[in-house]
Formats: sequence, C-alpha cells, structure tokens
Amino acid sequence: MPPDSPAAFPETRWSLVLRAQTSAVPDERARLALDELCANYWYPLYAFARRREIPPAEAEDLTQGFFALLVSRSLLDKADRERGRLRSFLIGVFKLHIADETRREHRLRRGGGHALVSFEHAQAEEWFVAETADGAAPEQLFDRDWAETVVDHAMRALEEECAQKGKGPLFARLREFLSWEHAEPEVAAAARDLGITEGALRVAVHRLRHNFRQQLQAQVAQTVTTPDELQAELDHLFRTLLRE
Amino acid sequence: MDDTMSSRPLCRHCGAPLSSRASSTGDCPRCLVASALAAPSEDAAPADFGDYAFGDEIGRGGMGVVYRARQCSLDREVALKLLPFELLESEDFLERFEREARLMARLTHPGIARVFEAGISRRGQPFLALELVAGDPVTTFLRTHPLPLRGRLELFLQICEAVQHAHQRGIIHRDLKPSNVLALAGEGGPSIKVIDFGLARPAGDHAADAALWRSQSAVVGTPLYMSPEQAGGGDVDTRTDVYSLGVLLCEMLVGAAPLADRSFSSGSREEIARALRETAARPPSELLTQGSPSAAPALRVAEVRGDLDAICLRAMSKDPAARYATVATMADDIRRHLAHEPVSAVPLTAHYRLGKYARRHRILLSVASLVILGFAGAAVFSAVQARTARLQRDRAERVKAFLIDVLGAPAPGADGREVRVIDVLAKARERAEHDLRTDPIVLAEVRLTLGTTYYNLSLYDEAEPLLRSALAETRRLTGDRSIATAEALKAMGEQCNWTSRQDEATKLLTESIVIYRTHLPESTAALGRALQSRASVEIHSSRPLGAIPLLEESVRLAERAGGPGCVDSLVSMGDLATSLDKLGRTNEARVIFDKVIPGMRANPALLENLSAMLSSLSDLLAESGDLAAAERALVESVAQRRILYGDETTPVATALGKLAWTRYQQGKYQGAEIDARAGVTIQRKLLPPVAREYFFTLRPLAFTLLKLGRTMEAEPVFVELVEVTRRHMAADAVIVKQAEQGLAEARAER
Repeated sequence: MPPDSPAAFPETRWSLVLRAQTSAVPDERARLALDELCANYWYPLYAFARRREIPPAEAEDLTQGFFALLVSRSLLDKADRERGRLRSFLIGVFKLHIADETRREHRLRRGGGHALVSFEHAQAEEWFVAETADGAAPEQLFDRDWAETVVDHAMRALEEECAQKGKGPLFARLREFLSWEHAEPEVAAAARDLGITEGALRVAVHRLRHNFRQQLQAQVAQTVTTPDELQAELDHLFRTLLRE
Repeated sequence: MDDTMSSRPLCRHCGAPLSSRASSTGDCPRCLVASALAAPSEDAAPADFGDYAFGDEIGRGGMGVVYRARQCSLDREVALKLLPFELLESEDFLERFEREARLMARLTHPGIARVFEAGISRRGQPFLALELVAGDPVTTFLRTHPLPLRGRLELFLQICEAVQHAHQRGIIHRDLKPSNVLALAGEGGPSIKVIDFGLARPAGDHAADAALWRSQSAVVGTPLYMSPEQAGGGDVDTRTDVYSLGVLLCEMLVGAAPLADRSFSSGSREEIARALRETAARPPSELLTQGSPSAAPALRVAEVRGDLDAICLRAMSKDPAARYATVATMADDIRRHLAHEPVSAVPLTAHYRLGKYARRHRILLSVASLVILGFAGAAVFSAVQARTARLQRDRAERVKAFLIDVLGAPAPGADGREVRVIDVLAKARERAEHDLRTDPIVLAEVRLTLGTTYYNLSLYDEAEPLLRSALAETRRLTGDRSIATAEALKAMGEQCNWTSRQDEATKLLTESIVIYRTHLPESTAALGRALQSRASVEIHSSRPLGAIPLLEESVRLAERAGGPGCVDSLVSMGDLATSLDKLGRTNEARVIFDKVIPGMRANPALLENLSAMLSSLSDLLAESGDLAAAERALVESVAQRRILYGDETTPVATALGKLAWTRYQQGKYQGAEIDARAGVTIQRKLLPPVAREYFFTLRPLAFTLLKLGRTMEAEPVFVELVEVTRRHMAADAVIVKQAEQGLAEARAER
C-alpha cells in the first residue's frame, strides 16, 4: 500500500508536535494535535502498564501523568532516536517513565493543571480484561493494541465519511463485507435489502474497501513525519496484525 | 494465536479475536486489514470469477489484463479481460458499464469480436468475457503476409465495415490501432476482427479518465492513433474513429504511421494534444519515398500518391468537420479508388476526372471488347449496328452484373490497345455531336450506335442524350413509320426499361412494335427482338403473365427468321421458361428449359444466357423436389460463371450460395458449408454490407451451422441474414420469418 503522493508529504499531527517542541512560542495547533494523539492512543499505553502488573487505578494515574508530562513538553526531548514515529516514541518514553515512577515509588497525580484525555476507566479495564495474555512479550502486545486502535479509528472515520455522503445505511449493511468474502446468497440478500443489483453491490463493497484503506493510511500518516516512515509504519501494522 | 484465555469472541474466518473497540465492535481487525491489502491487485483471483476457468495470460495493458479462459457453463473458450479497479473511482462508472454492455451485446458482426458478458467479479472487479480471437495486429500481419495494394485496401474495407456497423449502433471504438485490429489468414483470404470496442472507456474528462491516461501512456507509449480532440480530453464522436482509421490506413499502406517519427513519450497530456493539433501529418506516399525502414517494399509510390494520400489526409484532418463524416463515406472513397472512379477526397479537376475516366474505361472496354471492336474497326455503321443490336437483346441486366463484377476484379495491366479503343469511342462521340458536314441521317445512325454501345456498357448517363437525339433526328428525317425510327424507339425503350421508367419504356416499345408490324416480312427478326424487349418490361414490372404471349410470338418470329435453335429464339425461349416458372407452370417451363439449355451449350455466344438459364432451371428443379438434378445444374452454372466472369465475382458467389442451399437441403452439410463460405468470402470483398446478394450465401451457411449444432457460429450469421432479408425481402414474409426462426433457434440452443 504505497502512500498516495510521496512527493508532498503533508504536515501531520505528530510532525506539528515535534516542530512546536523546538519553538519557544507555545503553539495552540500543536497542543491540540498532541491532545488528539493522546486521546487516540492512550489505551495501548494503559494496557502496557497493566501488563506490568500495575493495578488499574495506578496504571491510569501513570498513563495520565505520562500525558501530562508530554503535554508540558518535558518528555519530548527524551529518546530522540525514536521520535520519528509516534508509536516507537511513546513506547520508548513510556518505558522510561514507568521506570522513573517506579523508582520514585510515587505516582504523579493527574494533570499538572492540564485538561487531559478523557479516560474511560471502566471501559479500559473491560477491554483489558477481554484481552489475551498469551505469553507474548508486552512490547508485542502493545503493538497489537496499537494496530487495533488504528483500525478502530479508521473504521470510525469511514463511518463518518459515509454518513456525510448520506450513505450511512449502506455502510451499516455492508460493513461486514469489508472483512470477509461473502457467499452468493449473502450478496444477493444484501443487494435485495439495499435495492441494488449484485454487481452494484460488489462495486460498492470494493469502493468501501478502497476508502477504508485510505482511512487506514490517513490514520497512520498522522503518527509519522516522512513518506518512508509512513511506509515502514504501515508495514509494521500489517505484520503485527497478520502475524502467523 | 493462542487465544484460549481471551474472553473476546473469535473471528470465524481466521480465529483472531474480534474487536471490542467502540467503532469496530465485532469486526476482525486482522481480516479487515487482510482484505484491504488484497483488493488493489489487478491480477486474477480465479475463485472470484465463478464460471470462468483461467488459462494463460494473453496480454496486459493500461486497460487491464487479459487471460485465456474457459466459460465452464457454456464450455467455450473466451478472452477474459479484467479491467482496472481504478475505473470504479468514477461514480457513474457502473451505470455506463452496464449501458455499454447492453449496446455491445447487440453488436454482432463477423468483423467485430463479440462481447459475451460484462460482469463484476466477487471482489467488485469489472470484467469482460470476449470472443477469443486468433490473429496478429494487422500491421504485423501485413509484414508476414505482404499483400498487393488491392489486397491491403480490401482488408481495410473490412475494418471500415466493422467500425461502421458499430457506429450505426451508437458505439464508438475510441482506441483503433493495429493491436486492436487483428488479421487472420483464411481459406478465402485474410479476414479481420476488431477487438476492444469502446467499452468501459471514460466518456469525458473524468478523474478516472486522467488516471487511465497515466496508465495508458505509461504502457502504450504513443498516442499516434488518437485524434487531437480525444487527446485533448474533449468530447468525441464517431469522427475520432475516422481519424484513427486514417492513421491505420496509412500504416497498412506504407508500414509507418504519419507521425511515427515524433516522440511523444515524455510529454504531458496537454503537450501531446498540442503536438497532435499542430504537427502536419505527412502523406503516405511521402513516407514511402523517404524509405522508412519498415516500409512495405511491395507498394510503389505511384500507387499511393494521389487518391490514397488524399483519403488518408482527409481522414486525419485536425478539424473533425473536415474529415469524412462517416466511416462509410471513407470506405466509399476506397471503393471508388479501386473502381478507378473519382474519389471525393480529391477536388474534381478536369485533368483528374479524365485520368480516372480513361483508367476506368480501359477495364470496361476490355470486357465489352466485342462491342467496341465492332465499333472501332468500322466506318461501316450498318454492320456495326447489326452487330450491336444482336448483342443488345435483353441482356442489359446481365451486362450490368458482368461489368460490376469486372470492376471488383483485379485490375488488368495497362493495355495500350484498349485505351485506344475508348479514345476512338470518345472521339467518335465528340465528332457526332459537332460534325456539320456529314449527312444528318448518318449522324443520327452514329448517335444511335454510340448510344446503344454506351447502354451496353451500363453508361446510361452517356447513352441517354445520344439515344434521345438519335430518336428525334431519325423521326424528323425519316418519319414516324420508318424502320429506322422503330430501331431508335426500341433502343430508347430499352434504356428506359433499364433505368426504371417502365411506363415510358412500354410506350416507346409498343410504338416500335406497331411500326415493325407494318414492315413484315422484312422486319421479322427485328419485330421478334422488339417483342422480347417489350416482354422484358413486363418481367421487370413483375408481370410474368403479360410477358408470355409476347415471348411466344417472339420465339415464332425468331425461328421463322433464323431457323429453330437460332440465338434469338433461344434467348426468348429462355425468358419464356423463366416466366412460366415464376407463374408456377413448372411442367411447361421444364419442357422449354430442356430444349434451350442444350442449344445454349452449343453456342459460345450464349454462355451468359446459359449460366442464367442453369440457375433458373435449378430453381425449378429444386422446387419440384429434384434436388440432385438442381445440384447438377448449379455445379455447371458455377463452372460456366467462373469461365465467364472469373473466380472472384458476385455471379459466382450467388451460384455458390444456391449450390450450398441445394446441398444443405439434401443433408450434404459439409459441402454446403464449404460452398457457402466460399461464396461469402467473395461477397465480402466485393459488396457493401447488407447487400441483397448475401441472402444466397448466408442462408445456407446459417442453417448448415445450425444443423451441425455449431450454434455459436450460426448466431452471428443469422443476425446478418435477418438484417438482409428484412431490408431487401420484406415483401417475402416467408423468407424473413424463416431467417428469424433460425436465429431464435440458434439462440435457444446456445
């Protein structure tokens, strides 16, 4: 899945954040970008902490405190080598953060005055409990959580895109076709439900898949700064999910 | 993955845990990503194309990948073309695809590869199941099978007919180029198939169009065959195909396309369009003189310069309005060139027209040399007149058929003697028109002779003023009751009969007969011939009953003048037999045929009449159920026609078709197919599409194929047959219905 236009790689949330870090003037756009990134990717970090056998409440505090430091920019100059990609950066710096905090045996309380990400504790714990603990390394599990988060956001964006085009019902009926090839009768049934021909339905499914691929790419693009990184990050995502 | 400890439900397809996240609950992230990854490949995933079993890849280009495949349910080989997914990006693609597929399904022409199905694969990929065509790109074919000029033009005419057929059904090809025009050597000469007809090509300046342009130019590398308006992304109509045909014709003639030396590889779309608009196309003859390395050495510059240069350049005009308006008019020009007539692409100058005239007449005169030599050798007009009159009889129809055939046959080499003959004829006419010294009665006779000669050459326009003035002058000089006036009335009457003015013909011939009757017995033979001509009017007007008493009297008079079995009596008897047969009086007809045919066999001057008689006799025999005898008569008729007209002529084709039908009726399918195909092959070279004559060959071919169970082959033949019968035989409901039923049967059994 090559990026669409390698020549002009647009500014991404992550590149905004990184650029703002070297500037003396606080940048509102960069702050918003970072907030959004945090909002999107807190769960993999939380789950990572939980797998270190940190209890739920402390894991939450740890994650919130991490974001607070991130937002106050005091973590951003750490782990310079890793900061090209958000995922590698976060996990690298988060590991250091856990180590620091554990050594101090002291948890930062949330916020430091900043409005932090909305943290649905109960839901996070629910997801975490549902997760596997199949003996894989925590870093691998983090990557998988991350990939699933990307996929989830891509689906949300696709759903919104369809709703905007007035194709909400089409999306709702066809979303299951995105993941799996369906047998003739199911195709026929869906076509009947939507009042279109089977050929038109297949074309619609194809388009939906195409748009999903673009959304996936767009999501990942927000966490990198160059086309090469985008490609590498996409490859990593696929490898993570398709492993075995 | 070992998910035994997970409480998340597992994907029933891959076993991975399903998502429990807010926006993707119940989705399998693994499968989602896997299918997103799988989609963009343009290569075949055979399982997606249920009915088709994939074979080898045949070709690959900007418009998709083509595989050889077998359609399992119908057990037939097809070419399966997978179109790029990119096409789906345009919102109205599907609508256009389905609309064009419906149009394409109606496109059945032997020169166009059929579209069997336009479908969508399980993955949503649009595909086409196409007739699998063997053959090479036409320009490649011409390198391996060098044809003379005429052969190349005839091949090109086949292409024109196919494209015109599509245009008449609202389908534009939009991508005519050698790789889309395949040629195949066959028993009856090379044939062509146009592939890749306008389907699923973006109509306007679409986003998808732009995407395709990228991929096409990357693959094809040259827009050599594309009209400037199409390259510019503007609206196109059928004239974009006319442009491409002009380029193609040029390349078929000289081995190189007119803009072949320009490099378009690096240009953007706009640059290419501008280059196409601004670069003057060079005429093919110029490419030939410059000795392009791939140029066909078989052709001479002189053959191409002039008409063919003009035809190519007109087709390739930058402005669509300056091109041929239709492919048919372009084809007409090629045919005119082949017939040595003036082509519309060349402005008519006196010099040009005269050149054409001389060339054309060289051929005409060679076939009618008997008439011409009789005239040219003599200042003794009475002798000429006698001979001309004898030749004339009621053979106008056959003479015309004869000449049309000759025009379609290979051109004879330059022959000075023949050219001199026509010069003599033209000079004589000029003198007859302006000579003030010669006796006006002699001059009137000269005009009558010249007019009759032109009439026998089917040059009715030239004949008309001569015959009219001969009649007026003779009447003025010799009076209303003279034999000379009767002669002139008869000649003018025959001219009117043949040029579809039957009322005037009846009036003139009746007057002529009345005069002849007053000059008996001196005018016995002449009266017999006048009655024969008068009968011919009745036959032309579909009143065979009215012809019978006239012919009976004509036979009696001819036998009285020339003895039983004389030429005039045989000709009238032949017409009599044919008229009786048409009235269903077959027993009477048969008796006369049995007398006439041996007589004609014995007289070499009546070969033409003999072959026509044999054909009529065979109709009669077939109707009376004696198919074996009918077949024998037709075998002889074919042989006679070959001697008379040459192998590749329409009379031979018609006779072959009738022979095939007789064989079909006797269950001799193999012979029937061979004869019918041989006839069709000849007709394709000589006749425009949907000509009446196709009936004779298509009917046996279609029904034979149906009988042999080869319904796929039969269907397009029936389609054409139905078209021919509907156009020319609408009055004969039985024949039209028979063709339609055959077509329905072929479709039902398919």
